[in-house]
Amino acid sequence: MAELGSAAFVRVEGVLLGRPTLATAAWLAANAQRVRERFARLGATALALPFALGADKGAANRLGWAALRGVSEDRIAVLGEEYAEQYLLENLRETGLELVSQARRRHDRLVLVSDNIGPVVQRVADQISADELLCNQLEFNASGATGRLREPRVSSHLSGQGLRSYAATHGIDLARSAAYGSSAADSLLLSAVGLPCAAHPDRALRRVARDYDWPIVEAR
Amino acid sequence: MTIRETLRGKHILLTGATGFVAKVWLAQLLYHVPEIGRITLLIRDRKTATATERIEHELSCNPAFRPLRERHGPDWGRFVAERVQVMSADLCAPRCGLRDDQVAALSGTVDLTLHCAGLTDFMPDPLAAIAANVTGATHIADLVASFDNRRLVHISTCFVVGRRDGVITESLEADTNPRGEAFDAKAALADLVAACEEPGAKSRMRARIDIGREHAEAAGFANTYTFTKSLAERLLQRRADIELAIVRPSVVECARRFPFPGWNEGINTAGPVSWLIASSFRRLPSVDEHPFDVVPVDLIGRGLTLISAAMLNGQASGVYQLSSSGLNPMSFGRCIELNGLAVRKATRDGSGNPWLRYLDPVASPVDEGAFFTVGRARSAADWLKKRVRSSRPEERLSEGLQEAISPTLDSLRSRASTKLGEASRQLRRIDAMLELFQPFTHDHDWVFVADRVAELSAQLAPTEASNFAFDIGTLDWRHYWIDVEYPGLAKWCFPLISGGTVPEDTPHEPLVVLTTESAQLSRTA
Repeated sequence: MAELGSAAFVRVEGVLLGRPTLATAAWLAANAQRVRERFARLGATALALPFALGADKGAANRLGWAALRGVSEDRIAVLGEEYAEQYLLENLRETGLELVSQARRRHDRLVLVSDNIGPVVQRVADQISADELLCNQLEFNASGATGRLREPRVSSHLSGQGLRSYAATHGIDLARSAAYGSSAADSLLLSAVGLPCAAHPDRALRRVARDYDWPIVEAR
Repeated sequence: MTIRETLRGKHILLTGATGFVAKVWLAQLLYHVPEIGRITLLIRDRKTATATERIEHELSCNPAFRPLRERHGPDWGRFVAERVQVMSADLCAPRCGLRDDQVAALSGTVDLTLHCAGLTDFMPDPLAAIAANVTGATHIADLVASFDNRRLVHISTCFVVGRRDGVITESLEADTNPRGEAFDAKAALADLVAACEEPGAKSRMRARIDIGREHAEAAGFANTYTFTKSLAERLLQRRADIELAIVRPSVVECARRFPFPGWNEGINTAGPVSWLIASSFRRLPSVDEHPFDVVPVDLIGRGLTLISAAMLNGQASGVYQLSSSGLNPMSFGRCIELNGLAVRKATRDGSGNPWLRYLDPVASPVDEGAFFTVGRARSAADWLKKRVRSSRPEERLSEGLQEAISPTLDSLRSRASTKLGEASRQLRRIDAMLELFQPFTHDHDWVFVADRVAELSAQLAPTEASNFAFDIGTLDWRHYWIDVEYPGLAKWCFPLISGGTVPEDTPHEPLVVLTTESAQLSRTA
């Protein structure tokens, strides 16, 4: 039987980037084709703010993507790339990049995990030469985006079952693998691997990390 | 039989080789089928350069031949001289102005004639359009009829369909016009010529242009160009003394791959449209759902090669459309959005007008009752300019004050008047462009079927598909418009619209020198 490999799962939001996913939806809404449409979409995105502040990122993101209903695939693809170039690539966190370098030195398969959409976060994956990107894709029909995500979705909570299934498919030994997360929603991801690490964690994850004696890396 | 085997050693007669489509086809043929026997180019002498000098300049400096110059290096001149010969010709003269010995030499050796020459201005002097598009085609057909091989591929345009909507099949209804009325091409041609030669029009080109437009519209065509191209198709189709294939490209645009992505020459349909919606003009009269039928020039070249080879194999005749709307449609709404996104991408570095960057162009159906129109804006600019020039508010002031402020006010008046004059000229230009292009951008919902060339593509051997397939179905419009078409237009077309020039390649050394046609012909014989 072939020897299983090891991987490093890096949550993009929080570990590599400070910007929330909802900001992407808001920026895309603000750059709709027609001016009137921009205000309407931004207004719809604003409805997601209470959920974002109330720590239900999943619901906030769903509302954010729903505000893009009807936007063309061309616009999402081109502006997603522009957003990544303008706001993300220049602002990758140094500590996050160091953790990525460490994973590379260990010869881990580098897997980025993001609840953002492909056209945006693919540029980040390309920039740091990730081996794989697990992210969301907007669903489109003839009239443009439906406002929903295609299956399988990557939510802010990555299930342990999903991770185990990924590991089995790709021949990954989770016990020898590392994971880096920054919010309480990443607890399941971190607890599924042998080398968990909380990188600039929020208060809830910090508490969990201390309880389980996971290493904590602070932002610089 | 493969394309290369079919074309090996064949002698092709080509007109219009200094034009956009024929030039790319010639370059593609020399690049992908180097075993071609001979290509004879019929080119008109100009006052400043002979036919041979004109094509030698193109072969040495035109970017269309860049891949060939790069491939052959110093050997390019020899390579091309062995395969290409030039004859000074005048398509408006009987037998294209060729001498008896020239016709005799061509008669027994030419395997196929491809007629690409024509006048593509939308609203030209109808007499010039008739000479180039109708008389020229008739004379070429006469010439071909005197050859042993009477195969003629005639390049027309999809827009001979005229002002009617719907699915346009690859056929020609010779006896009816686009309005469905009985139509006799010969009589329509005679009427147009007679109208242009009436005393009021004979010496006034503006009057003739209007006559051309009126006749075209009366018969159901969008402009004089499509009207005269349709007349040529109809007159050629009547002839029993030639084997005819009519090829109708739609809007021919920047190269997808050959000679290199984005190459374009001259001002074609999409150039002015793209230029308009990349300027401060934000609302293009068009309908979101209508297809914009664009085909990259190198795919047109592939289509021509496929049809030529099929004709040489005795498998082609009738009408072929080289179009995209039937196989891979792109709507006007999508095209306009892609153009806006292309502008954004091209100005990510902060160049360009920031307002235009963030205000996307949109399709806007024509509203006849709209108050704000380009015409009204121009009238307002003209009125304002007159008011600015004539107003003298300082005259109400005391003489001392007048003397003090008059120089400043005169300078302001002069600057404002200049700016308003520029705005008026720009608006006049936009108005003229919109009028010219509205039939193509707004008025019609055309879907041009291109099944016949797709069938020829499907028969290609797998080894030849990458060079010869008319694979418009696989074209990714987003990538094409944003990364190929718009940057191509910005480099090769927009400078011409603004009255500038575009770069040529550094002349190839040694310069291409073609020998005389008689020397070439004797070598062939």
